[in-house]
Amino acid sequence: MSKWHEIVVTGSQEALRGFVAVCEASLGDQEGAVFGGDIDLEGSRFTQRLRDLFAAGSHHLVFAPERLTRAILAALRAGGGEAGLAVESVHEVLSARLHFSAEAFARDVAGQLREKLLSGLPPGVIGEGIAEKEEHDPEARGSELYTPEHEYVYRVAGAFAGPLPGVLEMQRRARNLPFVKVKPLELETRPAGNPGPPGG
Amino acid sequence: MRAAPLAVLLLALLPSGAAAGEPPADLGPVLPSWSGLPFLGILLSIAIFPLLAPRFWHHRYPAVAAAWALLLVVPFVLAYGRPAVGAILHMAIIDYVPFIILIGTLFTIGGGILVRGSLRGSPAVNAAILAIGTALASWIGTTGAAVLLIRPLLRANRDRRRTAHTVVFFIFLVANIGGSLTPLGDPPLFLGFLTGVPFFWTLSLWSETLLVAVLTLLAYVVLDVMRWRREDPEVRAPRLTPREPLRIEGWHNFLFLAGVLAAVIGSGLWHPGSVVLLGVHQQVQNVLRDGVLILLALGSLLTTRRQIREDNGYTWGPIREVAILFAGIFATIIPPLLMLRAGEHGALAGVVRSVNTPAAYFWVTGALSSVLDNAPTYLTFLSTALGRLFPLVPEREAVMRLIAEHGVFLKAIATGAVFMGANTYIGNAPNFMVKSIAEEAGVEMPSFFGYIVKFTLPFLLPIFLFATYVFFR
Repeated sequence: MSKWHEIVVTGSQEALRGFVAVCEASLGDQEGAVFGGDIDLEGSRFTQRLRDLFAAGSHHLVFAPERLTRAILAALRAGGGEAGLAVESVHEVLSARLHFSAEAFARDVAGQLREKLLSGLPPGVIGEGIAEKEEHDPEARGSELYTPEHEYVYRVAGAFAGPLPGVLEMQRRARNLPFVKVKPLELETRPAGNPGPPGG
Repeated sequence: MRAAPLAVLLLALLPSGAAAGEPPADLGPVLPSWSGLPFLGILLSIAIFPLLAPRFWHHRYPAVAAAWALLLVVPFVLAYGRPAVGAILHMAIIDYVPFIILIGTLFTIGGGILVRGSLRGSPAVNAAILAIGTALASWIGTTGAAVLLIRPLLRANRDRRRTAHTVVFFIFLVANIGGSLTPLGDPPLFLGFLTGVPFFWTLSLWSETLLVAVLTLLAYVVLDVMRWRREDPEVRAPRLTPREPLRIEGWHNFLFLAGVLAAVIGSGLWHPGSVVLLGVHQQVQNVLRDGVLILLALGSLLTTRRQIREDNGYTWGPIREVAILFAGIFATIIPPLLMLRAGEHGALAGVVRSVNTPAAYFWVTGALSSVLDNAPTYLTFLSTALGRLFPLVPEREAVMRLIAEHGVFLKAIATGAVFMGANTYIGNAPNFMVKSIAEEAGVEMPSFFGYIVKFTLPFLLPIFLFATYVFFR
């Protein structure tokens, strides 16, 4: 599994998306880049949040696997200046973490959550601190007007951690399921060296 | 058993029949404003506990209701003696018992009608279900119409990814707005009927109802068409395999509903005299009506297959809830109603003075109906209007004069209470029930504030503002 990188670029988002699309097409790899604006990302560093606040729209995050990262960096170094794009920093993504919780009121929905959320995790992704609880209250059976309580409640909460693409897949799954709430994605990164050309 | 000493005290303080034909309005000018606090307390309990402590509330609501009721009844009786007992008995015999009998009868009969089969949840089908429910709500009650149609609506939409907006507009239209045309439709209007508003007067709300219902339905259709276009193509494609055909089981219960209608209308038209029950004058036709309603409910219970009720999720729970909570509401509402009826002479003169135009009545009744139960809110503002315009005039005479001389005020109160019960989950009893049924069917409903921000404010608020401009300027 290739390493993923976080590239911070200043300039026009449209121009950046064009550069990335060209790089993806030229490599023809299965794994494409992911833009920070397309995923709900935790602004982990205070300075980063401040920068976002005062320069909203000028900084963009791109996540890409190693080969694509090299291609994007090479393309930006070669022609980014003319398009007003500049690389500000490159970090290696060590791991990602997604906290989630869900509360459902029907057994079939609980089964769906177990099947689509808790089983068949992508390679490298693990569940952390996942706690499931089922409650039955036979007295709450039937329709109620003023004291609405569900006869059956299923609760689950925890986190998925692992490589970025796998955790992004879990974020996508969670977003497509009812009753699931997810927190912003947390990333653990470290400054990357200077990745070489894409073929290296 | 714990209630026995209180019952003995009440019996000892029974008023004479001659003194108890009308609620003892002479208490109104002497009651302190804080005697309304238990009423506020029970309404806030009903509003807040289901949101913040649903499990506690589910198991302990009888104790909470009893606590608020006793907090009022014991000092009220000890301080004011016979007039206080007269007021309590008047409220129990004239308002509470008939109210519970009607609600219980409608719920029992409505729970015996089951719509089976499945439709395709296209915008046209959904709009048709909402329109039918809106039209039915005035005749079988908002709760009855909601119980009847929510499951077919959910079945029709089970393949769709976005269903919550349909359930919210179902709450708007079927569980609230549609119930405005007869006293059977929504509890506030039946309380009005018990207070002396003629049965057919509510039909005069047809133009307000039509405008608000049509605009709300149009807003729904536009929203649903937009969301339908974003559904997966296989959901939108016409089905080649036939779905389960639509059919109604327990249809004979519609005959019982017709019986309910006839009994209630009859009690408004025929006046053979009165009888004295525990010192309170009750009209003979009302006693007969309540007896007929009980027989109709029993008839429905005995002639409807148990499976139909099970499939409808019918239990005695909702009737028990209404009986217990409204015992508390009707007990604690007595001082506020008496103070408001006293108009400028009562401790709530400030309230009476500050609400003084039809638009103000529409919005204040509506705003409070959004967060408190709309039935007692209706009674409160009806009393406010009577206290302002006809202070200390006997209730039934004052109601008839209100309709004849200032009918627009009663229209504003009635529509404010009924329409704006839709504004939040806690505005009207069926709202929470529909939310709960939808969640158990796998629909993720918006949160309390999500409902208001995503649906009430953008859709209902402009419609109510327009209705104010048209009808209550």
